[in-house]
Amino acid sequence: MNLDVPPEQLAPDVEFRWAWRQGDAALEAEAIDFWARNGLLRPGTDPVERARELVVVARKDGRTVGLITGQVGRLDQVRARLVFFRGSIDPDHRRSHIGFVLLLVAQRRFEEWAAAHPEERIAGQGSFMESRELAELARIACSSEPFRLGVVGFLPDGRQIRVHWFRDVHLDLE
Amino acid sequence: MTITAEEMAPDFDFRFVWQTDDAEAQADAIGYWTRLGNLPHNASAEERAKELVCTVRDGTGRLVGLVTGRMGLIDQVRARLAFLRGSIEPEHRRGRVGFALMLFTRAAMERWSAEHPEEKLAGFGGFMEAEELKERGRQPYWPMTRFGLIGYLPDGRQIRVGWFRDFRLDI
Repeated sequence: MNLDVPPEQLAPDVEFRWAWRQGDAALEAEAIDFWARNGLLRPGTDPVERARELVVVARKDGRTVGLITGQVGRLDQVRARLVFFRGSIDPDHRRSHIGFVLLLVAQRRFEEWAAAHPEERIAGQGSFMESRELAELARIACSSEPFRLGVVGFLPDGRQIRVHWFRDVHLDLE
Repeated sequence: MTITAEEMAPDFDFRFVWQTDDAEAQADAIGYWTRLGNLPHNASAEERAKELVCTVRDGTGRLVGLVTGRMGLIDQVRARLAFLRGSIEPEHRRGRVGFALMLFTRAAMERWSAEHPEEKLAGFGGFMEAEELKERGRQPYWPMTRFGLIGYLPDGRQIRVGWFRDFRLDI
């Protein structure tokens, strides 16, 4: 797979819609339906609230096949604000490349958005590795470019904390 | 963009001497520190020389810079890392050789780690004075060295790690 091309070209049959802070009611409703149809939200999660956190939606043949939501928060150990992604993929597409490309698209577009909004002071993307399916990936200390998600620590429950620092970011030193 | 140390500083001779017990390199290192007087008073030159990682010599064969290293565990990331110290002769500090030595060391140590998986050396670690680094300290990721910020010590120094490519952690 050629990772030097824009990631959208890696899945030309998939439409990637940017949704972060767009207030796109139709896309949010589609996301809520997607989660309900596939039983992908944990009990107690408010789908309406979660839908407001949409970052990118992947659509194929007019249907949502995957999406990424994001929450912005401060990771105290690195004294920086990061966006934390959550991804959902249609079970029928889990072994395809769509999830991989979706994450690439979300990461790249969010980095561009953060660069265009320096007042938000979002320095990178954080991740808590929890899925058992990712066990082999979790052994890689730092995923290769362009993901570049490196281990920075562990949570008390054993999950890895990983960070992808955006390029050209400057932190406020405290 | 990938550039090698030899391309960056073609008039210099870079050598990797980590754990080779190279007596000549160690003697040269001790002579270098004595000449420059840049070892702390409580440091043993003989002991430090055993930690030599890389040396760089100018066209006349004179040692003009070196890197020493120790391996240690950073609990925060549960990984074994190499902690390096570098020194360059004052007259070369404004040139490219210091940066080239760093690139050379990085590549050589990464190769050594891949060839010695039993050592479980996952990358480089460093504790950085953000004040001294000034603008660079504000950049959480340094692309050329792949050093990324992972946290802070209680005294405010930054903890940075440069993971080796494809290194697999023990989970």
